[in-house]
Amino acid sequence: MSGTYQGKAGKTRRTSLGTAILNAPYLLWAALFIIIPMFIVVYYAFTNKDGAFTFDNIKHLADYSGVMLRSLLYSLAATAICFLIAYPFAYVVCKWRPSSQKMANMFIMLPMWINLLIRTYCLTTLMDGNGLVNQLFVFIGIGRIPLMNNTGAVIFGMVYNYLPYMILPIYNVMSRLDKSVMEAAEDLGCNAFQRVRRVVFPLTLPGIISGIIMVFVPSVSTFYISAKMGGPGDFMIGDLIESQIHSQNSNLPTAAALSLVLMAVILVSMLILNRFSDDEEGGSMLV
Amino acid sequence: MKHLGRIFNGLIYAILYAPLAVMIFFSFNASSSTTQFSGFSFRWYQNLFEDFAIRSALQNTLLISITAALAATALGVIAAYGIYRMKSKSLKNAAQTVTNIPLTNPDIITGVSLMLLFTFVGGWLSMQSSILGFWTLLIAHITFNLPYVILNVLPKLYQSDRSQYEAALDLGCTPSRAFWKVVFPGIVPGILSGFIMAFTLSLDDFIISYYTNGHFNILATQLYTAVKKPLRPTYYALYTLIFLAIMGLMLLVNLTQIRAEKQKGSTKNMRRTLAVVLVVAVALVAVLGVFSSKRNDVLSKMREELEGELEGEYTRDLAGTTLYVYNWGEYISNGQDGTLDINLAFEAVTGIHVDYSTYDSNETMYATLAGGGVTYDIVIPSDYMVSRLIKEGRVQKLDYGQMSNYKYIDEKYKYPEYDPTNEYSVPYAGGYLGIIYNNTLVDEEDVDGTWSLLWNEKYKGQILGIDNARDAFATAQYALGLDVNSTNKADWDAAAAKVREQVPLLQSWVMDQVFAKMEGENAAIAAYYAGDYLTMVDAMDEAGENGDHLSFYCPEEGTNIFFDAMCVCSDAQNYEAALMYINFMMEPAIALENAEYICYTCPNTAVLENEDYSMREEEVLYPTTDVKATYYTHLDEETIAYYENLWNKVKADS
Amino acid sequence: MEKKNIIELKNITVSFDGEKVLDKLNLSIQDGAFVTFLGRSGCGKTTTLRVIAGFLQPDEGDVFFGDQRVNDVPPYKRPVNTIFQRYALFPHLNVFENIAFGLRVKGAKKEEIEGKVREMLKLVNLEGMEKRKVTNLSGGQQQRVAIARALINRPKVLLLDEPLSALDAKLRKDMQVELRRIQRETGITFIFVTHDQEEALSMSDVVVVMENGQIQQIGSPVDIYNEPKNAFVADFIGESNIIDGIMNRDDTVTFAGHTFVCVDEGFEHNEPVDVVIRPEDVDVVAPGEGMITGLITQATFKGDYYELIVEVKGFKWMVQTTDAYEEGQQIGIVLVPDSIHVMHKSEFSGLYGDYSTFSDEEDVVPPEEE
Repeated sequence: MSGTYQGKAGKTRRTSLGTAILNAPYLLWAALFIIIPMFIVVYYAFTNKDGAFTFDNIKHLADYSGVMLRSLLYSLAATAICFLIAYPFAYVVCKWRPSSQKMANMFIMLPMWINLLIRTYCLTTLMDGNGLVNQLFVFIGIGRIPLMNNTGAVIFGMVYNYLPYMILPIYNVMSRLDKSVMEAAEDLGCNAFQRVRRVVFPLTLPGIISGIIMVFVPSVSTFYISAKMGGPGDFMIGDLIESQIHSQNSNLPTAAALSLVLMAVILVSMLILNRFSDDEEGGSMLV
Repeated sequence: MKHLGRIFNGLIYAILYAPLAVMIFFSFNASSSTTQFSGFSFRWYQNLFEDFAIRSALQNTLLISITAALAATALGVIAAYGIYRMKSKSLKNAAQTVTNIPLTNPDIITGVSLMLLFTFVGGWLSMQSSILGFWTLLIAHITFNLPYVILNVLPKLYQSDRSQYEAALDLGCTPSRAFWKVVFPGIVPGILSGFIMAFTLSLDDFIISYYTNGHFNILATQLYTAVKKPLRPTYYALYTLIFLAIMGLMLLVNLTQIRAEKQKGSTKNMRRTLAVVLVVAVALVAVLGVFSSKRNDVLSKMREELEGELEGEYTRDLAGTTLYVYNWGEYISNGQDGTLDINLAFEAVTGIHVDYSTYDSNETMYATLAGGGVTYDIVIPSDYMVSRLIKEGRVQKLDYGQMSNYKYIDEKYKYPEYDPTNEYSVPYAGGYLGIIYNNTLVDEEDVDGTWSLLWNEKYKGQILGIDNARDAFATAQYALGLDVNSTNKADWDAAAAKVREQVPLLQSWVMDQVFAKMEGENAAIAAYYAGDYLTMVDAMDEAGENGDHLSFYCPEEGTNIFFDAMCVCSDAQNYEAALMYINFMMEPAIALENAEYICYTCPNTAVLENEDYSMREEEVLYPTTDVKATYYTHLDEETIAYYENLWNKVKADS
Repeated sequence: MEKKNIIELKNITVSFDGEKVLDKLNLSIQDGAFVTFLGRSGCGKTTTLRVIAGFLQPDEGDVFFGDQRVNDVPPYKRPVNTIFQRYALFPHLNVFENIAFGLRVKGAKKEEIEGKVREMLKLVNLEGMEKRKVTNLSGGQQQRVAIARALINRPKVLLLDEPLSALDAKLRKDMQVELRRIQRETGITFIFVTHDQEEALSMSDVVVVMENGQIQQIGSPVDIYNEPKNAFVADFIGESNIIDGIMNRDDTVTFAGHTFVCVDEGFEHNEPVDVVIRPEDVDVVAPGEGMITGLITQATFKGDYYELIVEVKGFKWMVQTTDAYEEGQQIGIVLVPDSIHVMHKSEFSGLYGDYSTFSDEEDVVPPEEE
């Protein structure tokens, strides 16, 4: 920012009335529907059913440490796999002609217009014990393979559904890389692998980070994919929150406490990620 | 190397599109199966144009998406401009941090927190009717759309040349005029992409809507109940059309853009593209409008057909009002395949619109009622839940005098255990819990008529656990010879331990998903309800005449008998209409249609005595030998809390 | 003493989308020279550079480094380094790391890197800046980093792709001197691409003038200026009046209705030729005293001289003179034999060298896009 002037001397720095009026509706909206709901979650997390302050809800979460750890591991695995697929994918697309790139991009975005529920449902009809893939396996003599209702299936379901969220931000950053920078690297002695490691990777880090956030957040909190594709042992934190809310003695305090933990997990992961990037604007979240 | 990349990307595309290919392919299936293709037909497309529920959900979805996207865009542009003009750096950072919250918050938390806010406000206003509905859904959608609009517009504002704005002021524009004349045109692309993104996200959202929509059904929430069962290919047809339309539009836009870039005559081409897009969109809507059957025509035709078939008196005094009914999923004759759409028939006769929602367990239903925020007129819970609702005053007394068809209810179902004074409920349908197994996958010698089949290690990975605390523990309690209505914690601990033994053998926990699992022969053994067994057999026969693969028995140690009963909520807004609806359900003609459709035990003597009733001798529904069975009773608060906690731990620890 | 050729291009042809960008190009470059590719945007000079660097595979023809054919050697294995038009510095690395990049890739030792980077920083006058972010540097500083980053690898040849085009005029002059100094100090062969003829003439040992994917002329700056081979080179290098003429015989040429004595030989009898007259070589005299006469249609004071546009027999000449003249004046023109340069007709004949549409503004050549 060395080259820009920070405003002329003598100009007041107070926000004008006009700006205040402009900001009022949004700030009001944000306060009502973003900030206050957060406080309500906190309120529920620290009160019992009679409204008295308590740490019990948080303490009880120790019972569910297994679920939380599992959610974390599954979503980390899904995020890692998404990255491992998305990165070379985007890299290959970036080498294509601009018109092909446009098409490639379009066909990555297109499935997102179909509701996740129905996409996942179709996926299960393919992968189920007697699903289409297994019918094919039986037909060619391999026999049934349990593709569904296990941990692998949950992670696959997440990867399947959230992969575009990893590809698009990475592609967006990668396609805007200065081509001559890449040539400079090659010119200075980098082979293809060194080019990726020393130049492409560090320069696409902002895209990678938004990709990670956009895959990790929905993965760690999913309650549909795990219920639909998982086995009996693939209960995740999202399922737990959902079952706490929709149970006979609707347990909102525990659900709120779980939500609080989930938010904390995400906050911590974002702080860790931010250490890797100096992207101040956060604008690279944009797809 | 180049080929390797091509192959790799091709593979990813193949995986990405395989499920969609399946969807498109099976949307043309002649049968209702989504895994067995039995011939090409347009049946499901025809079905789509006749299905009022899907159409109204589609309308609602479009309404909410467009309104939310427009409102979020308007508010977002103002917000972005406000943030852009903020001079204080810390205020700016604060505003941007707040903007990022909905982006990085998991949907489930956004949804739950908004639901808590809305119900809190509803409780505070002591609202009589539902607070959750169109407006809360709209607020929720605007809230999660806003950041995307702001983040699309802000960069454009920062790119814009401030000196142009100052030049406009210098040339005599007022600040607002200068904004419209100079700043606004520069940020239009950002506004457009923000709007499109908001619209897409709204269209696709499920989780946040799920917690905030109340009665207001949109496609995603409707799908959520629908995808638990074998999905009707009608939804495949709908999404195939949506998919093809979107693909067509995107291809068109992309191709013209590519051509425009080659010719560099972009603006003219862009305008032409936009025009084409609009025309196509309008044409699509028009096609849907023209080819869809007209609701009023259908209603009046139905009314004529029902003339003389009905015994009760149905006034049209309440025509135009709405009745909110909350029932189990797939538990009413709904017009599929030439059956009678009972809710539509009720509207045809009385003019009262039935707003119908579904749940998949008593617990979900209870939580929704207890959570506040949404009210219903009629609920149809099971016996023990009826007791609980009566005890807690959540349902009100019925005026049996107004229900002339009550005389058809079999005497043995009157004054039931769950409603000993017979003041609150009218039995709807019932049955037994039992074991459904696939006799091609299970050896006959392993079927010993007891619950132990659910613990048979030989079928590891092929057994389905029933995904609600009461039934799951009951299977264990029956197997162990314990009382299912025990208030002794040790009994529940023992049951939980028994269920834990079962967990490693399970394929998954299911409720309504059991249909897809058993009908598709993906699993071998499940504990489920007798009536649903018959539904599965029917569906399998229709898809490929495999219905005889499934068998059912009530285990000899004893099992659960249940009855679901119609009750009127104490905060019902339309009591008279509710009574009329219950009376209508007991009509011999209507009850017969319903009994045939849902395949459960019917309490209506007019049906049972009717020669035409195909299931009157069905052993599973009307056993001729004695079945050892008990009802669940409503347990005390402490016991419920205890076993539900146990249940969550069983699921969490496994 | 004949120096060794370090790079040789043989029959290089390159096409983009069916359009020939380089057409059977042959070129030898001597070791240790400062060679400039000069031409307009799209003439093929940057393409030639990219063929040498290895970013582009020629459709036909061979590239030799010394005796070795390097067509199939990827850029990262070639002993050349490039300075890119917009420097292409690595934005994620600081000045030090940018310069150290090549050595790090090679896996050099820490001490070696440290020492060599310091040496380079000194060479390009950037001492003390090693920790700075490259995105915060001025254009000139970025340029120096780019040079240091390339030179640290001790390349046999340094390729410079219009490296000065993004700098302002003053900085440009400084960098020209600087580059020349660095080239002399290091003794590395420089291949410099530019569209600026002044830059080319002032810096180079050898100038290669290119147009239409072909080399029009190779020579020292003086040769190129004084003995242009065709109308294109004559027009592109400095100002030229190019007039149709007939070479009657050796040392005699007729144009503008007058027969002049010249010093050019080796033409056929009565061969149609292009005659080049540099504006500063024209002697302006009184109307009656000249070999030919003309009418001044425009006169502009340029400080140390006057620039006149003079109509001679329907053709407009540019004339530079130290004496004051005014528009509408009749003048006489004298041309001594040395001031007349005769060229064979070429594909460029008739396209250049007429000042009838001349305006004082120079055409701004946009940077080459490829």
